[in-house]
Amino acid sequence: MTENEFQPKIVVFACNWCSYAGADLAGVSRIQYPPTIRIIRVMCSSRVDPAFILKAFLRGADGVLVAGCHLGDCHYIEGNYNTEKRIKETMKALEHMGFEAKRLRLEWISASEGPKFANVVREFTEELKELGPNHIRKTGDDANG
Amino acid sequence: MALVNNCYHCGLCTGICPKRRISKYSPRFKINKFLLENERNVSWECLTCGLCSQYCPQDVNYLDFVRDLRKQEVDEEVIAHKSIFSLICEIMTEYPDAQGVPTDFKGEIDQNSDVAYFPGCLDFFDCFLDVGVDFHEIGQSSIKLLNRIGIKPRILSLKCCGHDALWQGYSATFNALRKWNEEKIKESGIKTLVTSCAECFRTFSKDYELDLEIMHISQILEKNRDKLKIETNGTIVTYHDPCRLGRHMGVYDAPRNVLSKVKGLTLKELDDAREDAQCCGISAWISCNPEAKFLVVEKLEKAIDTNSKTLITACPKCCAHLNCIKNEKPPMKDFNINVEDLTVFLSKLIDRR
Amino acid sequence: MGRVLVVGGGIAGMQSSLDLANLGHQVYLVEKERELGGNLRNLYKIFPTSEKAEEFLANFTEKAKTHNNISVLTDSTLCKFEERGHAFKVTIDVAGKRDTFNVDAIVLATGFVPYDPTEKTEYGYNRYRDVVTSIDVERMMKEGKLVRPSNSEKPKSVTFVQCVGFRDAKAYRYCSYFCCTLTVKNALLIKREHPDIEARVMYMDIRTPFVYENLYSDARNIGVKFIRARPAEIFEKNNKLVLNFEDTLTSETHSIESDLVVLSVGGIPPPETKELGQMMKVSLDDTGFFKVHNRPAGTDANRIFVVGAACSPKDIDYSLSQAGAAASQINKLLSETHGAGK
Repeated sequence: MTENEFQPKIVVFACNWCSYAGADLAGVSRIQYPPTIRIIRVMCSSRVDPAFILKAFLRGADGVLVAGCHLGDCHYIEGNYNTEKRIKETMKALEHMGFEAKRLRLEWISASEGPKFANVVREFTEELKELGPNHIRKTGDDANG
Repeated sequence: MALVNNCYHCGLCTGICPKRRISKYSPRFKINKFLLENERNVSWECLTCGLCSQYCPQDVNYLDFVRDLRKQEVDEEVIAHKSIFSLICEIMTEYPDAQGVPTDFKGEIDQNSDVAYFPGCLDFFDCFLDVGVDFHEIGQSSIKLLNRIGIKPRILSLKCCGHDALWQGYSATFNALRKWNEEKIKESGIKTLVTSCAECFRTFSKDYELDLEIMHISQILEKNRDKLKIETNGTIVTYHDPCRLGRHMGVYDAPRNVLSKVKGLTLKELDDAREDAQCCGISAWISCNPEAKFLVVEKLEKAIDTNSKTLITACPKCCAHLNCIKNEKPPMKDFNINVEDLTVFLSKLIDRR
Repeated sequence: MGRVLVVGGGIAGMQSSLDLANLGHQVYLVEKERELGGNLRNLYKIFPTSEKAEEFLANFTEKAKTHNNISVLTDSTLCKFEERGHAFKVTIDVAGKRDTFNVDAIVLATGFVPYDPTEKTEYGYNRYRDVVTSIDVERMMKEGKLVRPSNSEKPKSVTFVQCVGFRDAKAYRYCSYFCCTLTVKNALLIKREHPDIEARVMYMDIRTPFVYENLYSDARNIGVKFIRARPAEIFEKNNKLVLNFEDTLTSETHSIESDLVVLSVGGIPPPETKELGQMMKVSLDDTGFFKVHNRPAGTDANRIFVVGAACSPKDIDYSLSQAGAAASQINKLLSETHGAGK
């Protein structure tokens, strides 16, 4: 990786019980993956409001990854079913706007799936390198008001 | 800043303000504080429903005053649904390749027609609102009704009209949306723009500078109401005048004239109909709180008092707010009335034959 | 000695006629109603003296009818007008018969008509029987019948509402001058005669000029309640009238009941004003009244003058003063053309 090559910025929402633990495991196991992510821990993937995702893109994120427990394994029983519905709708909304829905990704990663976490990040990073930087280049200072 | 100096503090606005019935909100008090103490605290409780300005003996435009105060600083905290729809508008203006709203509707469409239909943000509402309303159906029904009266419209894909951005204080976003839309409309060469949303109707008519005919769906249906040929067997309905269609634009008769052409339909008027119609309770997603809820519930209960089967309205937003309370999980109580958009109501009657 | 046509037999018209007649001119006093008196015929007691309007008026009408230099033509209207050099040829319809003659000057004294607040649907006039106007209440007091129209019972509470249709961008922008003093006078009369009635006045500003200020103090002192508010709406509930308003001095909203509501209405131009203006080429101003171009009473049409409420609503004192001043102005004009009067 040269210094001038585009390094996508990925915002990851990872649920406390499964995905965040999975990410932790990847770290502890010293599995290498691109340093493109910024992880935000949430208690459940269903905590992720579509507004957070849109905000992330508006603030310049090149990709957003929402990671939760496998269906049926949610710590709060039904949370991730809501997540699935919401993320699908969000992708639809992004398509409606002509924004690349591929920049939003939903994955089910369990606490023991350290390698999967790393793979997902690796794959996503490559995809985003192909797509290029997010054309919205805003910081918090430029925000409306 | 809109001029409010004319106010001579008669208090009529406060006496008639719907929010005053459930809080201590006073338009006059705010104006006084502004004029004498230069206090510019933003007014987020105001519904901008227009009742005050309608009766003000000094012609003070309180709505423009509130709108201009809000331009000072946006407050995301007061916008419901985590301001998702405002974020969508922001993306629409910040993302260089952003498209207009989706226009995937079935029916007889003629992309060369000089009469265009604009669906507004209906498909976005379907993505993020779970209130028991199929918003896409409003657009679909509008096309169906236009076809029925012999019009094959073009569907124009503009970006969001920006009504909410304007009233929430996002003036940069509004101006960007407006510029883009005005250019697109000019390019299209259309002569008539039809919308089924009262807010789009008001915004295109009053807040844009357009040189063409702008019609609400109820108006174009009214013009051709003889071609509707719809009937029902003895249904009772009542009608809610949306603020943006009624007080803001003076359109009270069109929806009523359309409904009067439905054979076998009885329209019972609410006691606060037409110029005095009470706002559904929420405007531009702002201040959705127990006070606002009180007004929504009041409107539902007044509608139920008329013994109507359906409360009809002509704005997808009013439809959303009323259905949101009606279909709350768990529901506050059993509101024994349907709340439907005018287009969906009429369209369903056509299907039944 | 000149000849003057005075159009309108209210007190302003009568005062001008008397003054001109006393100066030696021949006056034709034309009045469309059957009797002289104009709006004063509908009043009970006039301010500030509270003398009876009827008696006050009788003084004028007697003098006008018996004066040698005044021809009183009631039941009459002006139907044709022609400028003839330094004179006017006018045709009057006198109770059906046409009469034509020449005059040297014309005085417009057509007065005002009371505003009909039916269009203010939020106040319920002509919808709720117990909502009346200030003119209605004068008549009621004159007939000795201050009762609720709905059940003919004495009201326990009377609420006057000021500025109905006036100082109002949605009706008439101007202030009608006399309505505050009229209401304060009436509230005072009611309290004097019926101390047990609760009387309130809902106002925006109390405009009682010069010594009328004393009436205002008297009214407050006798217990009339003054509420600074413009009601948002008036409606009927359980046989009582309900008024919703914000008391702008306490910033609190209230809903009060009243047995009787009196809408204080002012004066608007009579319907024939526009036609007369066009006929004689006299300009109106944007209030719709005749415009005074040349103080105290000259219009922008030569030899045509306006007095009394015909150019702006005013009280009796002001009307009489203006009428007298007009007579002086006209006398000077006629003397120049005809040789001096008396």
